[in-house]
Amino acid sequence: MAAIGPKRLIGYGALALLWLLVPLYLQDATLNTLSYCAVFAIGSIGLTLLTGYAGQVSLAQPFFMGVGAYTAAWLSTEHGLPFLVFAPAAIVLGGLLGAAAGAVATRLQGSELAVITLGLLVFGDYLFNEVVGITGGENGTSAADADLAIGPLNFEEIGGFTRDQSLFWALWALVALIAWLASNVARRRPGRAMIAVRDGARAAEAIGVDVRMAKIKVFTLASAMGAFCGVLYAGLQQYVTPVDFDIFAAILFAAMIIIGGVDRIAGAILGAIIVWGGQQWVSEQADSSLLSGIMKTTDGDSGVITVGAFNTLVFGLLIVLVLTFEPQGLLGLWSRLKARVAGRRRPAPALAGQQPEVVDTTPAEPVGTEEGSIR
Amino acid sequence: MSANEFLQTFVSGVSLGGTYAIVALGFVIVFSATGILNFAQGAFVIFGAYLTYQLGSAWGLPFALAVLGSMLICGLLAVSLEMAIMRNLTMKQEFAAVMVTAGVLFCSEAISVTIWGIQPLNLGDPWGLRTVDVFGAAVSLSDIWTLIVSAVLLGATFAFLNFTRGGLAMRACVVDREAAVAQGINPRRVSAVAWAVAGAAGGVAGAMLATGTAGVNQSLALASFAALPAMILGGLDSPAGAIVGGLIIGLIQQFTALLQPEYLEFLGSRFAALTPYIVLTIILLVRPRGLFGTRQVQRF
Repeated sequence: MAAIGPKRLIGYGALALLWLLVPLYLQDATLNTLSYCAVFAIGSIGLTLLTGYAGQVSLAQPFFMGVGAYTAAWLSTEHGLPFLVFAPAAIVLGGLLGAAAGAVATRLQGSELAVITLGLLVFGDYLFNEVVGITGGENGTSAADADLAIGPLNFEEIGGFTRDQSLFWALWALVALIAWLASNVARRRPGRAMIAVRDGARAAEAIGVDVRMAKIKVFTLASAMGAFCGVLYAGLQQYVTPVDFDIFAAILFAAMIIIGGVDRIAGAILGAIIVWGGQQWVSEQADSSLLSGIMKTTDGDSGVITVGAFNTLVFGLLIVLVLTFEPQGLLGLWSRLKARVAGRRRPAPALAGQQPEVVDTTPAEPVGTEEGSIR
Repeated sequence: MSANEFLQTFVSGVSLGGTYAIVALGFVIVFSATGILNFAQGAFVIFGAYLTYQLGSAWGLPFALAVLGSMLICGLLAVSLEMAIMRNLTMKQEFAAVMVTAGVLFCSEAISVTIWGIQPLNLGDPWGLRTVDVFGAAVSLSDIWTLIVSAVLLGATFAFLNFTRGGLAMRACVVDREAAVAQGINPRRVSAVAWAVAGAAGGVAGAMLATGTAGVNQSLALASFAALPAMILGGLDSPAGAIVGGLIIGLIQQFTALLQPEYLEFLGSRFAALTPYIVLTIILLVRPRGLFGTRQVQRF
């Protein structure tokens, strides 16, 4: 691992301090929203590895999330198993399904893959609605016992703090752990192999990357993270329904990884906070003076647009605008502005062949050129 | 399954398949001209259905005029999308282009639900629920009309692609963009035309999907996604494949809907929606380039 510079150390220290102090000052409702952000951050980190690094377009992350959530709910509530059993079980199941998807993916190119993953989403919708014995069908199932606890240590009630405070600490600590793992994967050999696959499978094969295995591996990893995200989602929400994992969730995930910056781990986390936090904020503010003019919360209301439609519209627009004007997302914008301020004006890096600066302190040679990524 | 049931299901399957074929043709034309998998095709389907409702039912135009009008508007929407956004993305990474079209689809769902609400609307088609007697089987009139309209439109598209200068230019661009430019073909105009055709195809397909019992509703975009397996089934770049793929998917879906509740009831009521993807997965495992795809075989 590369040495951590003092500036970076200060940054991490500030983040850690923020993590410690935030639950002491914010209200429980806000902390609850931030905990959801943490859960989605884990899923979108996985998706960033898959889509941002390895270039495999997937809409299926909600499917794997659902698999994890239902596994957790079923094993904990029906069979009374603890976190240390149901979480690994869900992760392994998600990973295996992901490996199977990856094995199919090796036969397909980008666009076909997007369609197959859309099919997985449809398959999930079918499964979660029809396997009533496990999932409870349309009404969903309780996950009240899917506690985040290891032995006697229950992370949902740390010391004398409230559930929301405890969960904030626990979940964001997990995000840090997963982000650390993911960035290690991303900047070492497997990550470089992923980038090589994205920038040109032929070239990657030529320099000794086993493209088939690389794709299967990244699918497995991303799906396992999606399943883990689902486990935590079930534990946080304590109830699981099929609509939690529908195509709207796929929009949210797409928006999360794109808005933050599609080829950065930190971008996935930032995106999760912005997208989920923004959505919750809009729902809460729908009746406030700011938004009530345009928001319709009840049928007879004077507003023009419902909260759900408004959120869909905003995230759809954000996806379009970000990809059109700043394909590197907010973090890309940030590093460009920083570079401009520092007077080191460099040409804006292209989307392909770009090393992820945030997680990579020692940029290697770009593996492919932009031309190489077109065909 | 009686002979009558078979005939009814066959006709409705071919008619549904014809509609899928039109949507899939829209996908294929844009894909061959620009290399973009266009999720926004679903947006044209939604707008096609709602605009037909708006022009016909709400503003009282004759049904045929309403459909033509909504085709025209959808075509214009598609061209403006191409000129405003897609043109700048085509040569960048595939991922960005695909996600932008998905973003456009999400926006269009939000916009249509805001304008027209969430309740299903009656399209105001002249056929309604009427049926005609064909060899003793009660076949829905809207199915027959959908079949005729699809056949005419698919024929027209083929004539355009094969017998006109514009179609030739389009095919030349697909084969070799640079060589086409050298021959004086303007690839920008070609992709604009491709988008226009796709938009109009989506528009009419939306109206067709909403005839009869279905009505205009928000799930039409999802229904149009069943055309995606049809497109890949036929081979991404093959218009003929789109039609065959569409018919296969339509027939399988309707026959599943007829037979599965009877023989495989435990699979549940949502199974029919899943069949296109099952067929697709099997075909792709056996023959990765689709039935008619000309793409070279990749080793990985």
